[in-house]
Amino acid sequence: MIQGSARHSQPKRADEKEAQERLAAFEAEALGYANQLFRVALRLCREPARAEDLLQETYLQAWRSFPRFELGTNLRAWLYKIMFNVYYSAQRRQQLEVVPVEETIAETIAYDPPTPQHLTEEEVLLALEKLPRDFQLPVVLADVEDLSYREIADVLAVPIGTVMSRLHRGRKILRMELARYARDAGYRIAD
Amino acid sequence: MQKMDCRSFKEMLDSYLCQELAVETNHAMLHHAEHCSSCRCELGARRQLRESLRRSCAQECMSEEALARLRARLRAECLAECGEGTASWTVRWREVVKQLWAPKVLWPFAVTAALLVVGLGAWRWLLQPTSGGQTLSPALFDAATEDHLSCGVKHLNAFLAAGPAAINPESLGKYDLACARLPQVVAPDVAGLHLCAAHVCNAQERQFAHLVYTKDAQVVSLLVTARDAKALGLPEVLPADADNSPQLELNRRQDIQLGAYQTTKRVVIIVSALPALEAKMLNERLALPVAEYLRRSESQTASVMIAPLLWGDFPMILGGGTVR
Repeated sequence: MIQGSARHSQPKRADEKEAQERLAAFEAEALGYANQLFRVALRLCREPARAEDLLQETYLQAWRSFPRFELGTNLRAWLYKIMFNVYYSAQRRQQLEVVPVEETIAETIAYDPPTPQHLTEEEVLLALEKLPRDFQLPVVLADVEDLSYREIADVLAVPIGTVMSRLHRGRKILRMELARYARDAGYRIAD
Repeated sequence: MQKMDCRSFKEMLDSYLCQELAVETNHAMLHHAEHCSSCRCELGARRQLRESLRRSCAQECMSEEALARLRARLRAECLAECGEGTASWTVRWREVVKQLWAPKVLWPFAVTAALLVVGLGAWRWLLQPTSGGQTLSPALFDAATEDHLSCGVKHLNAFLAAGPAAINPESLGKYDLACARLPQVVAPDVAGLHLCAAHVCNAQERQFAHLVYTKDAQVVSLLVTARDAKALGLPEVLPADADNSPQLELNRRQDIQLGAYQTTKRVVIIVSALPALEAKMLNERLALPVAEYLRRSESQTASVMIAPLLWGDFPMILGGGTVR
């Protein structure tokens, strides 16, 4: 019992210098991802001010749990997971209704057009913003933020099969939208 | 090798680009692309789309100010954690919860610890009003409230008119050297505070170093003054308890919340009309770090002084008007 308690006992509150060294280490490791997290936070919250609040809360939680972070695992995916946790628990607190997944949207799309080329960045961003959020987030996490499908499933707390089907549909809708822009602008669509 | 047609190639193309396919499937994809020009073209187009998605998203960046605010918040949290016995109540509460969640063997320990924490807290709370055995005089709180009301609002208006030029930290140094760095001691955006003035002022025959902040459209004053006999309302000033962290003394003037900490030679007072809970947070986050900072600078000064100091003296005051 005594041994057990000694093993489990929390270390005494570290003195100031040690804590500041820890903070410096945490900042060096984690703050580099702030911009990437912010981009996803923007898609979650829609407003920069709220995204910033979410990011602050995320980093505070991450700082508190940093001693429990396992070195060698993906810090970025860990930070994303904390961010989504913070976001969803705040939503639950506010008792906001979670928007139902728009499963039907892509279901009906049978035709997959060739991917248009020579699109402007504005067009790509516009098409991405038009994606329903349940498709947009996996697409951003996979194709922009480079998380693996497994990590995305973990971050979004959904089965990996769901991630894959949402990615598939999300990317398809994106391509359809872009093909429409290309057609409207009279671009040549690669065939 | 796996057989691959154009349809499944296009189905799996994105997963290929994400490097999510098994090695054999990867080979089959490459093999197919080698022989099918239309799929090769689609591969190029999707790669391009992926690149342009990344480029366009990379434009969305956090502002420098937002990043600075994030750093400030982390720093404040770190300071709140490491000040022994001064951690904010949220940190303490989290620790208690953490203890309760420990393996079942630790339950008795956790309960004992929780009782101890409550007992110690109650003990400290009982001791609180008698820091160093001496409490501050009501007249000091009156002076602080008056200064806050008359001076804080005036300087806020000056700040709104003139911008950062209205902040005048040099004057603090002339009044009290240890106060010169006060605006830096407090992390700039701690708890949503914004500094809009730093100056020296008088209220009821007492001089204060006065930092004026705004928080949620309310004025918050941080006042530092000499801990002399008049501040205590007593004929004699006893040394403050130098070993323990400064104790908080709370006071109220109608809607105005006051919180004070004593160091050996100074009193730090925070004044605002904020709700009690937020005022409490400001006591911990704003006034306490300042009191700790002043206490450290006092002990450093004391160690190099040869002649013993008279308690209640304020040796660093250069400007006149010291109240004894």
